[in-house]
Amino acid sequence: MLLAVVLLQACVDPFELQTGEVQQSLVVSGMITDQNNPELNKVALTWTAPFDSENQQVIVERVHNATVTVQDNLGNSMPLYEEGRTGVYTLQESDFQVEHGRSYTLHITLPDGREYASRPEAVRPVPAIQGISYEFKQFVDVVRNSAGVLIERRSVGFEVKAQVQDPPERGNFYRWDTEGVFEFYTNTGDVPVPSVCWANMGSINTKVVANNDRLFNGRYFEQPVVVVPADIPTKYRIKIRQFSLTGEAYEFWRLFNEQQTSVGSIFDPPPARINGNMYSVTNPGERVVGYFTASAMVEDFIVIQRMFYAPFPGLPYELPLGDCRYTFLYPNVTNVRPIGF
Amino acid sequence: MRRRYHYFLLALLLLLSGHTWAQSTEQRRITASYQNQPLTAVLQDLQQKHRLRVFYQPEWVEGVQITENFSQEPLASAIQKLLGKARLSFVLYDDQTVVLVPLSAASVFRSDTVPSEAVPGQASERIVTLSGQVRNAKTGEPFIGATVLILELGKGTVADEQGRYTLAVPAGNYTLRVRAIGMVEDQRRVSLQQSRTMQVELFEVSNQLREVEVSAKAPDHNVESLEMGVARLSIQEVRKMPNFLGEVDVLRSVIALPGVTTVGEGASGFNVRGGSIDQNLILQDQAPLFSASHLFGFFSVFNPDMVQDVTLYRGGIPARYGGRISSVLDVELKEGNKKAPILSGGIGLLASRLMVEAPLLKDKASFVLGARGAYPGLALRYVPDKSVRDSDGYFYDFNAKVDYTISAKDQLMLSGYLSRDGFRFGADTTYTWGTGTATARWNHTFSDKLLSSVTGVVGDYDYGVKAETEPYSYTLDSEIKYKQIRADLNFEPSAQHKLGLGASSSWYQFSPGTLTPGSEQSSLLPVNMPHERSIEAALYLDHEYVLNPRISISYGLRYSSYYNLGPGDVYVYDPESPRRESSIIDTLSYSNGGVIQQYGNFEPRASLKISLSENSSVKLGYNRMAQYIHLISNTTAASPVDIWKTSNPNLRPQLGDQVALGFFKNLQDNTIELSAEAYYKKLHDLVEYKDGARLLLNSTLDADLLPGEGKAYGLELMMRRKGKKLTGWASYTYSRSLRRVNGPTPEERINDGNFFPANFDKPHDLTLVLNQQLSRLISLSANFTYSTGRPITYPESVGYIDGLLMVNYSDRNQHRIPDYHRLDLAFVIDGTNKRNANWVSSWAFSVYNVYGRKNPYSVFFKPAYGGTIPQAYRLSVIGSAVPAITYNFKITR
Repeated sequence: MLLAVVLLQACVDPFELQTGEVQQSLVVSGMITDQNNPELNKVALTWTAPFDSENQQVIVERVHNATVTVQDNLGNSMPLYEEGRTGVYTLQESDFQVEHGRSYTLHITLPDGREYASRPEAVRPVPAIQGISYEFKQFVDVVRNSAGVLIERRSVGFEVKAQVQDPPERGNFYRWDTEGVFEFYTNTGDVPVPSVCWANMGSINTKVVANNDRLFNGRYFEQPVVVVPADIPTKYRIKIRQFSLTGEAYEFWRLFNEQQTSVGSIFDPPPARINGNMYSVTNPGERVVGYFTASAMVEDFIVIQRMFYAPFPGLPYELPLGDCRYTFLYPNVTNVRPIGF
Repeated sequence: MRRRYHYFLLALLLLLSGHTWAQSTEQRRITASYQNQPLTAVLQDLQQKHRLRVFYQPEWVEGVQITENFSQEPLASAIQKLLGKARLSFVLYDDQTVVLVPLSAASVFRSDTVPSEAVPGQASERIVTLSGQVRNAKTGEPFIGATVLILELGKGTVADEQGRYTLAVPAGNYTLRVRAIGMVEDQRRVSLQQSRTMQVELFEVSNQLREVEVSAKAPDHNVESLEMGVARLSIQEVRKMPNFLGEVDVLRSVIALPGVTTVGEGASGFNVRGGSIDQNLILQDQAPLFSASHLFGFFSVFNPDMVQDVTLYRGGIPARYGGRISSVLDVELKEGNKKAPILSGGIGLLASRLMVEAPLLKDKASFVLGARGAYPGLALRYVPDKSVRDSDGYFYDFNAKVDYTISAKDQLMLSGYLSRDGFRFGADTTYTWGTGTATARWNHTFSDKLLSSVTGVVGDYDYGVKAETEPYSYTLDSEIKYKQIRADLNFEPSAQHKLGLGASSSWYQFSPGTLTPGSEQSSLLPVNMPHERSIEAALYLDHEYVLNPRISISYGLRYSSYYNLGPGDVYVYDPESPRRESSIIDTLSYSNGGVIQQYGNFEPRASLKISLSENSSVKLGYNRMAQYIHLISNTTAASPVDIWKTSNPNLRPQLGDQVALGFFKNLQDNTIELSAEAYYKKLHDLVEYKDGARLLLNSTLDADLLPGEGKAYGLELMMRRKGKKLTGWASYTYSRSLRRVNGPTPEERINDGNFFPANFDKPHDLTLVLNQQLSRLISLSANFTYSTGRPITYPESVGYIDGLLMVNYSDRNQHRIPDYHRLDLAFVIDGTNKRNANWVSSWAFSVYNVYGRKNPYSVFFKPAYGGTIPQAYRLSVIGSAVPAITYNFKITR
């Protein structure tokens, strides 16, 4: 392995691989939480795309006009409705009735009559986030430059950690997600248009973050969740959402995380199929991808004053010109000051 | 010596009175009739009736039966007729004294009257045995595997572990040829009129660092012996193969043999005939080793200077071995020089070694000490990646061995081994592992027919990981302690029968993991996995029987008995539902020493050899093996910190059955060996894993393991050339290794319960190993290998989960990585060709992977952020040609 490492750097080559899948499978991605927030309580339905690394673009085919309901173990049913033609089915605030300790099952009926269901998922309690800390750090990556030579690329960023007190009982499983909002300025000259805006990047996670208390049951721990980029010297509001999971859901997210971090080294387990909790009612042999989660959720945020750490390495930051609402540099831009700024 | 003295007396007698041929005896006539009477009785009769005195050694006439009628036969001609069968002659010393003389001795004096040469084929009825020991004239070390051959009869044998040989032949005069690797051949005339012993001392050929002779076996050993699926490599052969980074390596040579594969470069361990890596019993001076690799598989634990001889049993495993179901790799270390001290060593790019051997008591006792150390840190400094530059590693190992010949009948051997490995990835995680073993063996010879040996082994293998980054700092330590005692008896009542009987008992204690938080700041909790204890006892008996020169059989039976001992808790799982932590319905507690579970297995072994002609034979073999301890690893290559687990009520012992058929033929005076072997194996209760199972510190590990079955079959073709200038082998293997996990619920099945290829299933495998002696001092060797790429699981499709791209994989192992092929070259220059020079040195230059093929080790997929398909990457552990240079030396006083 030593030499593996020595020589490995020169020996990882990309290559093209096409493995067309005969049949498309349904992909279910969604959850319900104990918070009555349509942003969280929704299920996205898509079809798998064939693996083709030559064609770098994934064309996602959405599933429209499906009948989606969530039932609890007491027989109550909540409908989820598709918003427009997005393939995303949302639980309306008026229909919301999720409580701790109950278990929930997702039912899907496609327009062609195929039926799918999830195994029941229990909503488990989740402890509060004690606090959020961050650390300004330098990261070193080895990348291949355009000449094919390996170079070290240094970057800086803010590593954000959630502080959690694990409850005394065993078997707590967690997943974390984020929402990033940052401030930016434009040079508007003398034109009276807004020059301070905020962009909402949504989840800025590039990897699944999940953990369990197997090794630190009952302890206080700090969980690294995300790295906030140090690109422009403005305020950055990072929100952390902490979800409870069942053991089975945790296994799904853990394996998904392992798939994302595996580098094919000799000590990595061979890649394998990740099985979720969805199955086909009409055809038990059919594969369904994804997981329907039921979680309790808590959230907290922190605002990072990035300007105190500037200047950052790289090109000097230049203010864009014009109305900050219409620079088209960032998604979800607003000039309405969000909470925390 | 006594015999020589006897002849001397005889000669003296003859010289003194050789002229007194008494005419009176000539005239005596004999009338008698003997029907199937022993010659002794006949001679007795003559002595009484004719007032003769007949002098002879009783063993000369032993077993000779006489049927003869004399009527008025002159005494001399009568005696001549009587003795003809026994290949004896006689001298009439005076008219009352007859001295019987073996033909050879007689020929010295009466070459005119007695044929002086033994005539091959004209077999005498008297069978005598020649036995003795082959030793190095300079060091006194015995030669294992020296060939002892009687040229006239084409009959030979191989010296055993103590250099001893025994040959049973009709009395006569013969040419005896003794050969051993690297030694000057000894050819001498011997007269075998009675059983005798003969010590043979051989001298080294000049360039002893790189011997010319290849074979350690009798020239026709592969055809004549009952063994099949057995490969014996001498360290001289291993040395001649091109090596990686200049390091001579035993395991690398073993992997070049047919039927042996590995998952890739840098993978520790090897796979034999479709078995997993934990199914190989690895013995060093009879001490079992749990890890055979240093530096993650780039070095093997065997110090090449210390190794005497390497035997790999991949089929036809003798009943004296047990405990693993695929193969036995038996490595015997050399004995120290009993005549003079020797210092030898080598200096390489990554590692160096030194060895000292010297007599303790001249010709009686000796010691040998070997040490190796590696310094890969030097090489790591030149790597661009900072995390690799921060990495560091080392290993060292020591061997010590003392041999003491207490008497001609008793020998004592003590051998010890200690090794330590460490490797740090980046600045954080450090892996360490180490082995310590000690072996004591006492050989006792009751007679030349009955030998015994008693061996005791103590061993310890510990391994661990240490991480230093807060708040997750920890150390994780695991350990296996074991003790073994065994006794073996070998009884050879005649040349036709060989009996082996023995018993052994092993005790194991496994500590599967103790996690200790690294500091006060660590948020981790201490975890202590419970210890596991077991005892494995075995009894065996085997019998090798030569029915006739064409047919021989060997059969044996081993009974192994296994006890999983308390203290310990055993979970009882609900038999109705798949095993999970949640399906535990009861916990059974056992007290200290209580038997938690007992297993017992009969393990029959059998083989049959039928000679088709002088130099070809067919062999058939069957063996069953049982294995009670298991390596729990679901990574592609086993890591040095994978846990070992002993069988318990939820983890049944693995069983393996193998049948094999082989055809062996030698051509051109045994310099070309051809063999074809086919085998079929069935494996039961293999350990497989649920997809993505987490194995470390898992208190309900049993629930993540799935019992599997396996089948493996293959055909191994090999052509081997032994000669002076060009030596080597070419082998082609077609083999498959398949697994099936078909549990009662979908969760307990893999690939819907269908057979799938094992991780190391490589159907086609071609290996060429050649060594050409260019001149007396220079040799060139080449090694080419080709194999099918190993199976891998490929992605079929992608989908988005929570905004992140997830890859959906196919069924397990349904695709293959690209084929593997590689060429290595080595060039060795010896410094001297003087006979028995005091300073010998050599330079070895080698290039590994000459044409720099990037053989993929694995294929993996890294999802890129931002809606693109993950890129497929190939990882090649060694992606370029790797040159190396090593200097070896040997100093003798």
